[in-house]
Parts: sequence; structure tokens; C-alpha cells
Amino acid sequence: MGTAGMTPRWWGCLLVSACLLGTVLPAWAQSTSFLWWSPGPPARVRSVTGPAADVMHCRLRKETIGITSVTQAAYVTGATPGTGTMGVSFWSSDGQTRLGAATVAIPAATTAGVWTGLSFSLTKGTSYWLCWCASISSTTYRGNGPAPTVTGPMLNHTATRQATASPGCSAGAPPAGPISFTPATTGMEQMHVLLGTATP
Amino acid sequence: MTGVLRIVLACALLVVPARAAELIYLGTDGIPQETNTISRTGSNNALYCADLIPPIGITNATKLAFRGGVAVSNTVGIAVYTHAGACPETGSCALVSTTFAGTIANDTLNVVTGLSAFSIPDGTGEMVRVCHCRSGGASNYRAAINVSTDVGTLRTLWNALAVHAGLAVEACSAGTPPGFTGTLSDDGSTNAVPPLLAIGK
Repeated sequence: MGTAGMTPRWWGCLLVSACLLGTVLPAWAQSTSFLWWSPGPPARVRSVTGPAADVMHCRLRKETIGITSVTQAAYVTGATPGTGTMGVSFWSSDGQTRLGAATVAIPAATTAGVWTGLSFSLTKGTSYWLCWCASISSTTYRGNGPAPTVTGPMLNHTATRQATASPGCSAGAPPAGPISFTPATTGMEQMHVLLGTATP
Repeated sequence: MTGVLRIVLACALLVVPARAAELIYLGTDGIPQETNTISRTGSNNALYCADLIPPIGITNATKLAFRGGVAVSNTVGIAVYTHAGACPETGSCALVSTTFAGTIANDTLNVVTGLSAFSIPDGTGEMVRVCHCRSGGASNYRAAINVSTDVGTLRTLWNALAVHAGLAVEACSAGTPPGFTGTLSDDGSTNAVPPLLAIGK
């Protein structure tokens, strides 16, 4: 059936239906509390050594659940985190749009650092970059392991999904963007990150 | 009228969840790659829980499998709760399945069938709470984590923004889980890491 034959009454029904879906779906289909950056609790939690100072490591991932109104995020330090600033940022898949960014003073060993002041949502089925950096070299944090020398090339086989970003950070603060990505395969263990709303 | 019906049907198809599975795992970020035995500590009948946001759901589940157990003459309880509304704040989360309450040997595969049908939301972002307890004695269970994983920092991150893995206000009774959990508190134990559950129809 073509649209030419639709009466105003039909268009009205279509509009009402679309409005109802638009009203219901965002709250119904996404987390309104918290969300692991990986879709669930990670099976491996290892102490990972971070990149050189202000080098930004990034991982692209397709969101499988979605979350509405992220305001904060957290990570956990490793055994020797050092003293400095840790930055996190979230980007559109092309690196053109920065969804959010924040810094936090690197906390003591094996404790949580919480980034605040974020304000964005992640949509189910859409790909996003998670990027992280530190003002100091070789800080440690909890992430995947061991070194993904095998999985890295696989991730980057058809598209860049594990990369360093340019420009990098400045004193631990992520750039405003846009950013570009250079595929990387070693020393890229992903940081474990937990996202949260204002009421996580 | 026919056109209106077509629109209604189209909308209904859009709304109906499309990915409900025949089998899902709770306690992991996908198909479990490895497991580790958690030796359960804490008081008898203490209820430990973890909140999960399953990426894939299941409808009308009636079966469940987990690996773990309790010393003979004691009872282990495992239960799944859903968060209708604001469960962590109000303690009003509802029990959807008492999956097991019985006496079994430690580190044994337990398959439970004939459960009252229950459903897990399908990637909607709704939280599910997985809990376990035991009436007494030594017990253990398998979690979907690597043997060398630092379980303590996993719990730290889980609770970094709010307590989503810990000891529940409500307790079990002779190893049988309560109807709702109440709020959770982080008692610093590794019991908060949830057991790996396979849920099927």
C-alpha cells in the first residue's frame, strides 16, 4: 500500500503510534541505573599497566543494552597507580563528536576512581569509543588481560576498533576533539569501566 | 479499518521483544569462558546478592543449572529476583524463582527443573538480582571469573557508584531465600560475586 492512499485519519494513527513508541521506548529499553562498559561483569580482572603519559588508548564497542543519562563512571586502580590525573572520554564511532570527558585524581592502590560531571546517553546498537589516558606513564588499573596481541589484530582486521588517538591528552585531560585513530595491537588491555546515572 | 489494523500490527511487532533466547547465562558478560570456585564465607543464612543487567532475556524459563554445593545436612539456596520499580532503594524487588533449596555435595552440578515459569527482561536495561545463601557448614559455588582474577577489586568496581553486590538486609530461613531482598551493603567479602547460572526453558 502506498502512502498516496492514506487518509488524514491514517496519518493521525501513524503519528500517535510513533509518539507512543518514542515516549515509551527510551525508558523501557535502556538502563536507567548502571552499566558495565563490557556488557556484563568482566570474567578477567587483572592489574594492567597504562600507556605513556598523555597517550590516549581507545576501544570501539557496539553497545548492546544502552543507558540513559550517564552522569558518572568509575574504574579501579592497580597495585602501583602512582600520583597524577586519570582521564576518560567517550566518542562517536567516527571520533568527530565527544560525548563526554572527565578527569579524576588517581586514587590509592586498588580503590575506585569516580569520574563525575558526565552527561550523555548510549543507544543500543550504536558503536562508541571509550578512551582513557593518564598524566603519568605506567599507571596501573584493572582491566582485561593478558596482553591482547592476538585479539588486537583480530579486532582491527576489518575496521579499527583498538587504537591510540590523536591528539592525545594534556596533563591527563582528554582533548576536545575531533580525534583520529591509529590501530594498535599491543599494550592495549582495556580498562574496566562502570557507567552510572545520577541514581545508579 | 484494514489500514488501521495494519498500523497497529506493525507497532505491535516493533514493541514485542525479538531476541528472547532458549538459554541464557547470568553472572557473565556472555557465554562463560572460564569459572572459578568461590568458597563461601559469612554467617549462616546470610543472603548475598549481585545486580546484573542481562543483555539477552528469556521468557517462561523453568530450568536452571549451577555448580556448587554445601556440606551434607545443610541447605543451599539460590534465587533470582527482578527489579520492578526501585528495588535497591525500597527493598520491594520480587522473587521470581527459588531455584534450589536442598542438600548436595560441594562442587556438584545441580540441575533444577519444574520451576514456576519466570522471565528475564531482554536487554531492556532492567536489573536482575541473583542471590545465594546456605543454612550452615562449608559451601562453595562456581562463578564466571578467571582463577587469577582479583575478585576483591571486581567487587570494588561493582560497588563504585552504588552498592550492587553485597549482603542483603533480608536473610534466608533454613537455607530458603526470602520473598524480597531489601537493600544491599558491601561487607568486603567475595560472596558478592554471583554464582554462574544457566537458565533455560
